[in-house]
Amino acid sequence: MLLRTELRRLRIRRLVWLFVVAGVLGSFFVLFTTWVSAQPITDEMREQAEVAYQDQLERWEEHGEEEIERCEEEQARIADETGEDPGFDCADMMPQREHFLPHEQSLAEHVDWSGLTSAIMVLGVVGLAIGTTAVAAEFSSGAMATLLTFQPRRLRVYAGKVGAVALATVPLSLLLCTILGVGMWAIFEIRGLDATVSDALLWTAVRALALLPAAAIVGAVLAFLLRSTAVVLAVVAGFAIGWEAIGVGMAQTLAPFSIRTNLVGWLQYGTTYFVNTCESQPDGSVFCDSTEQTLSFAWNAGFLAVVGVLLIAVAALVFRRRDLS
Amino acid sequence: MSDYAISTDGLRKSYRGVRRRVAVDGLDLRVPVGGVHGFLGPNGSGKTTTIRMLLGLIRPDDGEIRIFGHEVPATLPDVIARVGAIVESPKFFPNFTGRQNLELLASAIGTKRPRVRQVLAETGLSDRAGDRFATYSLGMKQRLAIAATLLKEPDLLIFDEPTNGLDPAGIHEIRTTMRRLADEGRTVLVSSHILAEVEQIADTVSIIGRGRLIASGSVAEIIGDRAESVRVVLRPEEGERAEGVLTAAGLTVRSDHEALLVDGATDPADVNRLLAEQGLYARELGGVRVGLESVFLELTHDAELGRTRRRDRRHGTGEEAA
Repeated sequence: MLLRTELRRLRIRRLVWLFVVAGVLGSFFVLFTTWVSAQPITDEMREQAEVAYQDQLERWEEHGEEEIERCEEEQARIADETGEDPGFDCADMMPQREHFLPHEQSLAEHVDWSGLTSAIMVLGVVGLAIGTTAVAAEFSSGAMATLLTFQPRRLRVYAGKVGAVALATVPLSLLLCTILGVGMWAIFEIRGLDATVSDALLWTAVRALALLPAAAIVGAVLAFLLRSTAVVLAVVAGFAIGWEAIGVGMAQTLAPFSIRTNLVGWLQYGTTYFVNTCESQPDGSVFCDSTEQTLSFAWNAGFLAVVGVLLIAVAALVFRRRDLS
Repeated sequence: MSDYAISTDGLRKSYRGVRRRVAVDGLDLRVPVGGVHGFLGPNGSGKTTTIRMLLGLIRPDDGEIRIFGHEVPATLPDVIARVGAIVESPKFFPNFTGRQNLELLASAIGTKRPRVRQVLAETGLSDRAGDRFATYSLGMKQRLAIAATLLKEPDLLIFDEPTNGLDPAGIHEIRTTMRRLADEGRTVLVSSHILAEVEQIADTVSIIGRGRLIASGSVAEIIGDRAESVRVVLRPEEGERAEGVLTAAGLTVRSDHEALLVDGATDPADVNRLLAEQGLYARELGGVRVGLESVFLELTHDAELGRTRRRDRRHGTGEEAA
């Protein structure tokens, strides 16, 4: 009964429709940036690349042997100091034509490099906004107190509202994911680029469907905890800057506990991150090495599930006991 | 079946802040079934906090609450269908129409749509039901809130300061509605600090001050022997002598601007005779009916005074401490 009521309320709420429009516009903006970045290699670019290649080849013919010699000396020096071969591949230093051509992105690469981040932004922000404002409006207008004088079972009210934002955002998620997915594929097709849709890419799109409803649930839960859209926005912005950007950015070992990293992992069926380790050398210099670490899909899904369940449980407990003025 | 629509025992609530503030301090409240019960107290006396506790919106620190014999908040869901309430100002979604707001509440409790139309008609809102709540006047908002409470066809209605901000016509309308609801056999609890309006419609009242019950009973019982007094106006220089004469006759005399109010005397002729025997002649003389407001002011003032004295005794004055 409550779920139906809440779904109806969301349907007649104008702000929800405004966010639907914003989501569609945001998705088309992402497609616009995809159109701009998905550039096939033109004849002009080929000509420019050929000129640059020929120029470098000329220089190589003049000074190539000296450069190989210098490279081998440096390689030997480092091997002496560290006891390890740095693997400079000095013999392969000759310019190659393909290195001068700009890289032609495939659909899969575009999704990996920037498409996913853009999709996370659009789906996440729209979901968060719908969930947060729907619940915070009840607190700010006082309608929550009015409702509780009709239905005092708070956990039912809580479940009804959280469930409703999750359900109500499923069709929107389908719409936006379709616009983004089909749109990106169509752009790569039209541009004559590699638009192959692998199974992995298809599953990424399927998993992306959960993003918007999940963000809506998080928004609603945060609104139950903080009771104000402005405060929720401040907390989310603070978290994004303080934890995701500064905390995880400075200490990469924290990446397994980053929401962003795990979201990317959820979408890509596992992910990697890099940890820099620096060591002081006997000559006083510092040698840094970057090692790639893997996060499994199980970790990504488990971490996000634990965070989600914790948030939902804490907000339920707080709402159940909180005095409402 | 409980004799009381509402009963509380030792109800307490304090708010944490920089300093702990006690809002309700051991309140024992009894609201009989049927009729209008005025819940009176000055601003900040704990009326709204008490009402919020009755409705399960805030949790008491201590004490018991029963509504129609059901313990609150533990079994509030069992009895909430019999309770309609407006706490402070009417609170609805401002961008939804009056009808949409009511339909949402109705659907939350499984009430059918025809009932929404019915309560809109009962409260005279049918014509404006399609307008946004934000565009309603205060009176219309209040009527919509009453319509919402009637969705449940409740046995108990709780109105917290229902006439706040209303114009005289609006106040009259709300008063008439409350009286009508009580005459239909419902119990109406109305909290207010405007005594005149409560006096006109209330069958029984409870007066609280500083979160404690000061007096309770029918309006007549509360006013009690203060019901009547005699107002005497004399020449200014005769006031003191007249007060002495009347006091010596066993009457209680209070000063009221240029006049003397003589409590305990029901017939102005008796007062006139006493004064005339001493050569004092009244310039004006008449019976005065004491209103609930005077009693309220007296009681709440006494309560405040008592509290101050208790506090002084606890802490000791400067001289006592020395």
